[in-house]
Amino acid sequence: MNDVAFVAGAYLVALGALAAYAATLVRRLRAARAARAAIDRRGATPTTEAATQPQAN
Amino acid sequence: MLSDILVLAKKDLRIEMRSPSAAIGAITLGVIGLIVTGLATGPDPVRLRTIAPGLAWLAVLYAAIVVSERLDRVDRTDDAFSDLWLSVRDRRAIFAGKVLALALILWMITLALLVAAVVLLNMAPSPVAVAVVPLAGLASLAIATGAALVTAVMGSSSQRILLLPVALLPLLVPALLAASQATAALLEGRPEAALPWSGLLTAQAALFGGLGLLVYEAGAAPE
Amino acid sequence: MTSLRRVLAPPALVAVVAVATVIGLGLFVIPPDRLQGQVQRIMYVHVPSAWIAYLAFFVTLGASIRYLWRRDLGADRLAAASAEVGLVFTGVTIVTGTIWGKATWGIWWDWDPRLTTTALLFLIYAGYLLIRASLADRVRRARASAVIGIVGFANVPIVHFSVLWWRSLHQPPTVIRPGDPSIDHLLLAELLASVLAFTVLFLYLLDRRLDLERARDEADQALLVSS
Repeated sequence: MNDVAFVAGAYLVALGALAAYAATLVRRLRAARAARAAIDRRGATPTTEAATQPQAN
Repeated sequence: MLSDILVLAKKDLRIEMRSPSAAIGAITLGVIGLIVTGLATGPDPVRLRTIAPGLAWLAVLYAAIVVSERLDRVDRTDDAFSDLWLSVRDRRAIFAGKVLALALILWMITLALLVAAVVLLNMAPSPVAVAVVPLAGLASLAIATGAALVTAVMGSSSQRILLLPVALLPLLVPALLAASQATAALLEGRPEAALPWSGLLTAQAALFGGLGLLVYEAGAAPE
Repeated sequence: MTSLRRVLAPPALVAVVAVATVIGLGLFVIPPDRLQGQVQRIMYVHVPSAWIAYLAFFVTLGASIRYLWRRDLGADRLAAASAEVGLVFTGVTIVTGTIWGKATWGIWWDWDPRLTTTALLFLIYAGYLLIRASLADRVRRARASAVIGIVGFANVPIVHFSVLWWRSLHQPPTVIRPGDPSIDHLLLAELLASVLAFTVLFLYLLDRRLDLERARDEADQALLVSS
C-alpha cells in the first residue's frame, strides 16, 4: 500500500466517524423529544431509549 | 477515627474469616488459571514461569472485585448501611476500614497464589524473593483502595458484579503492571528493577486513597 | 452557565466550514513533510483528535468536581456529555494513530506508550458511560460517575508512566516521534489551525450532546410525574 492510501484511509475513517456521531446525536435528540411529547400528551407508554431506562431498584 | 477504622476493619475480616467463600473462590480461580494456561500454551516451563506473576496478579484483581463486592453487599443487607453511616463520627472511617480489611485479605490471597505458582511451576526463587511479601502488601493496598472506592459509589445496583470489572480494571492497569513486573523482578533476583515499580504502586495507592478520603462522603452516602 | 453556552457553542455551519478548511489545506495545499512525506498529513487529524480527547475528559473532571461540590445536575450532564464526545475523539485518535503506525513503523499496534495510554483512557471512559447507563437512580448515577470521572482523569499520569516503563523494559522506541523539533513552520501552523478547528467542532458536538442529555432528563422526569 502506498502512503497516499494510508492518508486517505485515515481521513475517511476519522471524518466518517465524526459525521456518523453527529448524525446519531441529531437522531437521539429527536427521539428523546418525541418521547417527552408522547408522555406529555397521554402519559403514554415509553417508546424510546430515553424513557425506557430501568426504574430504580 | 482510628478506633472506628480498626473496629470496622476487624468486622470485615471476621466476616471473611467465618466464611471465606470469596477468598477461597479467588485462590481456586487463580490456581485454575495457572493450570489451564499451562494446558493452553503447552508445557514449556520457561514460558509458564514468565507469565506466572502476571497471571497471579490478574487473579488478585478479580479477587479484589469479588471480595470487595461481597463485603459491601453484607454492609447493605437489611439497610444496615444507613445505620452504619449514622453511627460513625467521621464517614471516612468507613472507607479507610474497608480499605484496610480488603488490603489484608488480598495480601493473604496473593501470598497463597504466589506460593502455589512457585510450587506448581517448580520455580527456584532467589533469596531476595522474600521482598515479595512487603511488595505484595503494597500492591494489595493500591488495589484495595481503588476497589473499595468504586464499589462504594456504585451503591446497590443489581448489575454491580458485572460492571465493577468494567469500571475497575482499566483504572488499576498501573497497579497490575507494577505488581507483575516487580514480582517477576524479585523472583528473578533483580531487586533494583523492582524499586521504581514499588514507587508507582505507592503513587497509585496514594492517589486512590487520597481521592477516596476526599470524595467518599459525597459519593457513597446511602440513597 | 446557559449564557456561557450561548457564547461558546458555534452553529453547525461554522464547525463544518472550519474543519473542512483545515482538512482541505492539510490534504492539498500544505507540502508533504521532508522526513515523513505524505504520511505526516495524518497528524492533522490525529493530533487535534488527541488534544480534544484530553480536553473533553478534562471538562468531565471539572464538571464532576463541581457536581460533588454543589450537587448541580447540570454539571453532571456536562460531565456525561463531554465524556461521550471525548470517547468518540479518543476512538478517532486510536484509529488514525494505528494507521499512521502501520505506514511508518510497518505494524498496526506497537504498544507505543502514548497510544497505549490513550487506549486505556478509551476503556476507562467506556466504563464510565456503561456505569452511567446501568444506574437507574438519577442521584446515584450522578455520584458514581462523578467519582469515576475524577479518579479516571487523575489516574492518567500514573497510567502513562506505567506503560512507558513497561514498554521501555522490552524495546526502546526507535522511530521518529511526531513531536520532532525539526517540524516546519508551515506544518506547525497547519497543525495549530487543525487543533483550533477541531475545538470548534468539539464545542458544537458538546452543545448538541448537552441538549440530548437535558431532553432525556426531562423525558424521565415527565415519565415519573405521569406514572
